[in-house]
Amino acid sequence: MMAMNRFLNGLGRAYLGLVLVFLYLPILVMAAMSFNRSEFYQLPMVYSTVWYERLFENQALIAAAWNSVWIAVTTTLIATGLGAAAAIALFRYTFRGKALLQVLLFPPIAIPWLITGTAMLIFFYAVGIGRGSRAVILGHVALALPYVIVVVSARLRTFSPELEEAARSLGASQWQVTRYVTLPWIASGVIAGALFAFAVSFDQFVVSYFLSTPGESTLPVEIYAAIREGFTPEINAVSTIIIAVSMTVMLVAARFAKFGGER
Amino acid sequence: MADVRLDRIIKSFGNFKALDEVSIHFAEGAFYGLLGPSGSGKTTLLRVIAGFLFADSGSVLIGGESVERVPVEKRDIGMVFQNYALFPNMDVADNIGFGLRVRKAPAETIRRKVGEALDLVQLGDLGKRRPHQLSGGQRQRVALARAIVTEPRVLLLDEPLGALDKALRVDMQVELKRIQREIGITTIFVTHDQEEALTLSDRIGILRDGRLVQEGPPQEVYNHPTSRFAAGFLGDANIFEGAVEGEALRLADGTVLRYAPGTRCAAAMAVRPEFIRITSEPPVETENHNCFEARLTQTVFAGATATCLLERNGQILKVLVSGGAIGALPADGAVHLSWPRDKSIALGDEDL
Repeated sequence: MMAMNRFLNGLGRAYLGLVLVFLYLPILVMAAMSFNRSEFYQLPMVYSTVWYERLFENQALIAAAWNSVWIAVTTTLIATGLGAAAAIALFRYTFRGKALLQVLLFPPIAIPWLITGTAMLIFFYAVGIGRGSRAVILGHVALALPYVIVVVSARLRTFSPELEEAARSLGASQWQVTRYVTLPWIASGVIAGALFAFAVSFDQFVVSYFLSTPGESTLPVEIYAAIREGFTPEINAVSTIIIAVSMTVMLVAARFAKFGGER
Repeated sequence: MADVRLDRIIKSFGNFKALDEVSIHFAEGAFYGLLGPSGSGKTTLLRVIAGFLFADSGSVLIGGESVERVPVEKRDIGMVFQNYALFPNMDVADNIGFGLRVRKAPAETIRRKVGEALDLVQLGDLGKRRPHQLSGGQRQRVALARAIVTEPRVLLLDEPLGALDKALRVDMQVELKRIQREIGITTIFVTHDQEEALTLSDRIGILRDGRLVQEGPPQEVYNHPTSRFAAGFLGDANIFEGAVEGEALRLADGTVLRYAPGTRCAAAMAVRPEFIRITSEPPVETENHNCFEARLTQTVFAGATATCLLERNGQILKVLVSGGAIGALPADGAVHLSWPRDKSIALGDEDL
């Protein structure tokens, strides 16, 4: 019995290891190659930062990176504000069609971005917004909003409405209740939601590709364009940087979110 | 400080009538207990007074002023919630000072009043603790201090001691009563615990299915319940049914049970278990007593007291005796029961 358990335990660990290798090995190889001097991935590896140096001389990529950052920050601010407010409203009030509204939050997460992107492009042209950074931000906010609402709502599920009632009974106005009681409780959820929103925007390719104009494109779009012209290890370098940033953001988000599990 | 008057309050949730024409006057400075089983409407009533719910019709007056459309935060009430609802992100002092802070009181006033409130609930030096570092009883005190520090017109308590264990509950009952007396605030509390209601209240009201069944001082309600429900819900009662005959009740088997002279007799009689005596011989003086034979089936020992279960013509009767008395009960089970006729309670037949 003991031996059997130990065997199953070992099998489980091996499987977990395999999954991690499957997930991360390609990324690790790419990261390693970004430090290899050879343009053709020749082994043995010769350590060099030449591709990073090249990267920082590539004005188009640098400009696109800054574009990506400010678009992601703007998206994060808008999506977090709107999303947190929406989550609190969904928590506080009961109204006709609330259940339907909550269900409708999920399809945007599941619908292929290609379709969302096409739909947005058509819609933005129809209403006269067209393409450009404004359109990209609008699109990113729409994509990020459900994530923020879901994460903040998860946090609110551990919040007792009695706390808001107690605050009101003590004379606190609606705003004071939100400011002093509700927001401190959901702060970690709001931060996690913001980091998700940032990641959604920063990593977004399809919707950005559809909505941006050539001069003002974002980093993923610029990378795609560069690859089409001819692949250089510079792309490995920039990808490694993006992955490092994204993973840091996600790890921090996961730490804050805890997905409503902890009080 | 103010009195609270409810006049014909009706509140429905869909087809469910939670409150059905409830009228009560809560006198200024009184400690008033609302008692009833779950679903009786007592919590709904408290929430209507607080302003968390608006009644469908009827009026709520606090200090003579109509507050039907006044929101909670403007009603100037203090409320203690069942699970205390202390703000987890604030320490004890900030919790207590919250009501003063949102009223924009000067920092110095807040510090002084919070200090006084902490002393009143005997938590003097715990101001810097967080709620999760406190015991249940301490949290209870913080919740109370927080509710009264703003000197509200009325204090509402929703099952305030429900989450505490038995021994602590008794301590807190004494404490709650002391604090209420000290500040003299009109207090309305909801409970399903009849003992708690009897201990704390100056007056109690019994609710059932959204209606006020009976209200009055605890002793009066206990000694003179007017309905079968009130008799059974507040304390235990043995109930006999029969036909009214003069100032007595004739049971189906011919036994005659007398009421006290001058009683408005009814077809249902209640007797509290503690007023019935168990003897092995028929009692000598029978003129002013009701007595009959019964068979002792079981005794349940509970320390100071013991409950005897007896059977008579298929009816199970309960008698409360002192714990030391059960040894003297006859072994064969055949006993005589008797009680003074002025302990016979006539129950109105509203819910027979």
